Amino acid sequence: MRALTIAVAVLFVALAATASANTFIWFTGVGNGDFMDHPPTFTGGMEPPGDILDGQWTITVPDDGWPLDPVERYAYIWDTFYAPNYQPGSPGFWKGYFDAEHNSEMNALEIIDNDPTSGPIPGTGTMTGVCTLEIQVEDTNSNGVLDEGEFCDGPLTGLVIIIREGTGVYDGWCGTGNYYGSYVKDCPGTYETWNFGMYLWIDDCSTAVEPTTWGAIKALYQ
Amino acid sequence: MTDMRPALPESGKESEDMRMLMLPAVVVACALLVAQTAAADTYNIGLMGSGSLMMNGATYTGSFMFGMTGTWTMSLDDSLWPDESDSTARWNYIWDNYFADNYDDTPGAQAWFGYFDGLTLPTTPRFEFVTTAPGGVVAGDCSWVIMIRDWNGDGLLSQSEKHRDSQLTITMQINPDLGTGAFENICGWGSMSSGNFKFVNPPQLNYIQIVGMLQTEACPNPVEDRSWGTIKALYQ
Repeated sequence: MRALTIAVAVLFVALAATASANTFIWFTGVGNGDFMDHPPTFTGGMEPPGDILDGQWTITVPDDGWPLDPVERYAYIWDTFYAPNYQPGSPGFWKGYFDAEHNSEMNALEIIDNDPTSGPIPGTGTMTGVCTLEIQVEDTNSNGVLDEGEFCDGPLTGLVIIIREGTGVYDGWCGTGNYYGSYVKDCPGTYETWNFGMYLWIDDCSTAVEPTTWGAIKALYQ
Repeated sequence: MTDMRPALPESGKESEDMRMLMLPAVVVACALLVAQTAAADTYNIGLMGSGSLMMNGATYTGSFMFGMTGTWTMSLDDSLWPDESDSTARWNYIWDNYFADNYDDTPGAQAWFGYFDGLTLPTTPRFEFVTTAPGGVVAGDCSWVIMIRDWNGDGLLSQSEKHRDSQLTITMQINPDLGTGAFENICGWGSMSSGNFKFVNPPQLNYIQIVGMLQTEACPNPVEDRSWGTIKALYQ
């Protein structure tokens, strides 16, 4: 992951240049969490490389209506989010979608930037937003049954929206982004370690000119 | 909760046969561990190329920026979609079937989400990397999720919102039967993302950069499955 991010840094400098209206900022996140916690909260820090080297990220999965009993909770999560999304193949795999379409609401995202020299936006502050979470589970023997050892590691991805509720240097900023990486569980336990890169394209949204303008234009066409 | 652990034998009932079976199983497991370590690798990859969901075939293809050399292809099964010659019908089909019903109205974060996977398409999307370095073909299934932002939160898709850079995430599952060269009998998975996915209508190529990771590992040896199957049967 670290080797990746070095190369990605070079890449995204170029990409950021093409997206002239936005400011590109990214970080490498490493942290932990557990879906058995109430609510499931995954949190950790930043590691080099990246624009933000000192800070913290938190992704909270809303669990309204999820059972609190561990046995019932584990079964509920599997039966609700993974089991219906089996895709046969060689090997087959399950998809776990945690977002507003599959859960009660989007996951909450908070990014704390304590790095005063953080990349293109020097200074400290916080970004607030929502994100999706997608987790893939390999059915190693393609028998359609979750066997021991099949839910221990795999890919994870997510889509990000930064809401205009930031503080510090991010006050009034908004935008979109994504993240990709991997999860590793302490099987047969459920505690997870995440390792990912999060890439954000944000802009100063404190002047709401665009929505007003587009609203008027769209109204003309309707 | 589904208990994934094998049932343990009752105290004192562990047979001599079981002990004899365990030894070779442990040896096999150790051998697999060594083999897996040798084959396990993480490829940090960057892809650049073009394609379009608005064009027949719904295929993206290109070359690698880093991590590998060669070419890559990803395609979605568009056999049920209207032909590209009627781009309005094709766009409306994509929008109505994959995005319109997946609107999230979180204040300040309104967006549509499109899920393209084996559950929403006739067949699971495919990826194929034909590499000269490390050399060989790695291919398998993939899943896409695309987010189109409703920037002014009015629940209506404007032309600006449609054609603006959108976010894309991709997860991959390697099919070892399709691997050759360095990827022969290699299993694994991957994840990727892009910040410049676009719908271009009238249909034109969308130039895209994608970054991601591919985690490979030696496939479980059939011997392992047989051994563990035997062990599990003995415990049941």
